[in-house]
Amino acid sequence: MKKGFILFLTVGLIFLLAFSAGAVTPQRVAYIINGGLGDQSFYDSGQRGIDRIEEEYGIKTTTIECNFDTAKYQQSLQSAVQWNADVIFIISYGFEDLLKQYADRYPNKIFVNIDTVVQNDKNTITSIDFIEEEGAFMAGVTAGIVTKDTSLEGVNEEKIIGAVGGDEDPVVNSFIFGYEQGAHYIDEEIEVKTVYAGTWTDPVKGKQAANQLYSQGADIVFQIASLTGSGVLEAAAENGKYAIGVDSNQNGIQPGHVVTSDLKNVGDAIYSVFETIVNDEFEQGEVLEYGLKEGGVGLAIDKYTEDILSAEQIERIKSINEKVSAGEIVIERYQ
Amino acid sequence: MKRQILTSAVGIITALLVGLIIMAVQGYPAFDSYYQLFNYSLFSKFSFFSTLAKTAPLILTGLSAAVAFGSNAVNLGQVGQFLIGGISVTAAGLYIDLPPVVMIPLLIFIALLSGALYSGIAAWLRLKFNMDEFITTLMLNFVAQYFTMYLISGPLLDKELFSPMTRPINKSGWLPDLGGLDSTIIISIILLIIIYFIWHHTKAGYEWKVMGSNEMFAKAGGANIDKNYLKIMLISGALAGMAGAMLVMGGVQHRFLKGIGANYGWDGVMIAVVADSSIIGTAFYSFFFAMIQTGAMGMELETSVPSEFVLILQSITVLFVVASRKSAHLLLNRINILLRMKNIKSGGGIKEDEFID
Repeated sequence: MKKGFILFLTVGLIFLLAFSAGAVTPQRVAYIINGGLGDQSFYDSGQRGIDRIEEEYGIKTTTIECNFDTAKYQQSLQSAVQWNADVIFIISYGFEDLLKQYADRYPNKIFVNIDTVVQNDKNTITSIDFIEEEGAFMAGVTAGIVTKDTSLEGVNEEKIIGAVGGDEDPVVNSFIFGYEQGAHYIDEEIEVKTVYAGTWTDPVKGKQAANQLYSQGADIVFQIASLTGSGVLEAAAENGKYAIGVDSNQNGIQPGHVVTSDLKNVGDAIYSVFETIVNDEFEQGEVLEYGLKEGGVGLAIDKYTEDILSAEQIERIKSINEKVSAGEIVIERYQ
Repeated sequence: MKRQILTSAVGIITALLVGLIIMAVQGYPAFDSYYQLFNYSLFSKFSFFSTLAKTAPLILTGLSAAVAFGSNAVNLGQVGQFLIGGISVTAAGLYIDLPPVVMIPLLIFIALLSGALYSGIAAWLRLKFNMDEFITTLMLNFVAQYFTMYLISGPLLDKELFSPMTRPINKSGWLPDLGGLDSTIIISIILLIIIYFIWHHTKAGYEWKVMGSNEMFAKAGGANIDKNYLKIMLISGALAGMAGAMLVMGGVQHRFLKGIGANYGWDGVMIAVVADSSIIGTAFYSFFFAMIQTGAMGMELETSVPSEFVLILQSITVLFVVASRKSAHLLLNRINILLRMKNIKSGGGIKEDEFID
C-alpha cells in the first residue's frame, strides 16, 4: 500500500516536472547565419554555444547557413518559422529588414539578433551587442607592445601596425576605432594602416591585403574578416611577422605568429541568453551589451602567446585589461 | 511540342530517381526528404508564394538567355545586365519620387532600358569591331559587379546599416504586395506572353528562329542579320535588367545590397540550355528550379539532407534532359519511320497527325 503511494507520488512528481519544464523550456532552437560555418572564427564561435545548448538541454537545434547568398535570406527565416523553432538566434547582416518583418509577423517567437542592434515596430527582437571597441582596444595594446619591441624576431624600427577588415561597415569600423585607441595608449606615434578586403570568404584576398601591409612596414596585422582573415594569419607566418586573430581563439592556427586573438564569445552569449529564457528571466526587446567586464569580448592569452611575448609584457597587457574592466580606462565608442 | 514534353518528363523523372538513389545510399530517408522538399515549396500558402517570388526573376533571366541562344546570339552577360538594371532602378528610386501610377511604369522602363543599353555595348562591339559577344558579355559582367560594388559601398551606401547596401528606394516605387504574393510574378508572366507572341507570331520572331537554326539560310532568305542581331541583344539585355529591378522593387528590402544577383544570372543560362531555348520550356524549368531551391532549406531542417543536395539534383536534371534530348530524337525518329512503314503497308497512306513530333 505504502509502496503504491510512493509510486503514485513519484509518477505524479515526474509528470509535474515534465509539464512545468515543457511550459518553459523551448523545444526547438534555430541558428541562422548570413555566412557559413568553418571560418574558425565568428560563426563557429556561435555554433559552439548552440552545440552546448543541444548537449545540456537535450533539445533539437539546427543551423541554417546562408553562405552570403542573398537569395537564401528570406528562405532561411521562412524555413525556421515553418520548422516551428521557438527560439531563433540570428546573425542578420544584410537582411535586417526581413528580420524585422518576420519578428512583427510572429511576435510569439523569440528572435535574438547577434552582433548588431535591430529593432522592429513591435520591439520583440532581442539584440546581443558586443562592445567591439573594448576587445579591439586590448588587441591594439598588444600590437603596440609588439611593434615597439624590436628585440622580437621580424619587428622593424618603424612603429606601424595594420588591420584587415572584411567590409567597411560600422562593426568593423568599431573594431578599428578601438584598435587605434589601444595602440595609441601604448604610444601616440604608432601608425595604423587599414585595408578592407571587400569579402568575408576569400583567404587569398586576405593574404594579399596582409602582404601589402607587411611590405609597407607593419609588424603585426589584426584581422577582422572571418574566413578572409585566415589568409592574414598565413601571410604572417610566411613573412615571419605577427598577426592577431579574431572572434575565436586562433592562436594555434599559425603557432609562433598569432600573438593573441580578440575573442568575441558569441557562443557564451548565446548560451547565457538561452539560460535566461529557460529560467524565465528573459525580456523581449532588450539590448544586451557584452563587453570586457561581462566576458563578451577579450583577449585569448595562452601558451602560444607566452612563446612570443615575455612574462613582463603579458603582465602589462593583463594589468591594462583589468583597468579597462574596472572602468579606469575609458574607451570611446564608435557610434 | 509533344517531343519536348516527353524529353523533359523523362529527364526530370530520371533525375529525381537518381537523386533518390544518392540519398538512400547515404542513409537519408529519401522519400521523406522529397516530401519535405515539396512541403516547404508548395504545400502551404507562404511556401508556394515564396516559390513564385523566386520563379519571377528566373523566368526573365531564363528568357533573356533563351531569346539570345535561340537566335544564335551568345549573350552570357545576364549577370551584368541584371546588376545594371537593379542599380539603375535603385538610383532612380532613391532620387525620384512620383505617384505610384507613374513611378512604377517609369522604373520598369528604366530597368528595361538600362539592361538593353548594357547588352547593347556588347552588340555594338560585335557589329562595329567584330568582337565576339561570348567574351565581351562575360567581361562586362565583372565591370558591372565591381561598378555596383563601388556604388553601394561609396556614393549610395547606407551608413546606418551593417553591411554594404543602399537606402530603400522611395515607397512609391515598391511593387504592391498581394496578400503575401509578390507581384513580380505578374510582370514576369506579362513579359513571358509578349515574348511568346513575338517569337511565334511575328515575322521578326520567325527570322530570329531561322537565324538560330541556320544563319546562312536566314541570310539567303533575305533577313537582315545585323539588324536582327542588335534587336535580339537589346531584348535579351532588357529582360535581364528587368529581373534585377524586380529584386529591388519587389520583395521586402527594396534596397540594392551586396550580392543581390545571387545565382539568378547563371541559373537563367542553365534554364535556357535545359529548355533548349523554348519559351514555354523556360517558364516551366524556372518554376521547377525555383521550387527545389525554395524547398532545399526545409528539407535540410527536417531530414538533415544538406541543402546543397538540390544543386546535385539540378545538375543531374540538366545532364539528363540535355543528353536524352539527342537520343530521344533518334529514338522518336525511328518510331515515326516504323509508323510510316506500317501505314504504307496497310495502304492507309501517310497520316501526319499520328506522328510524335
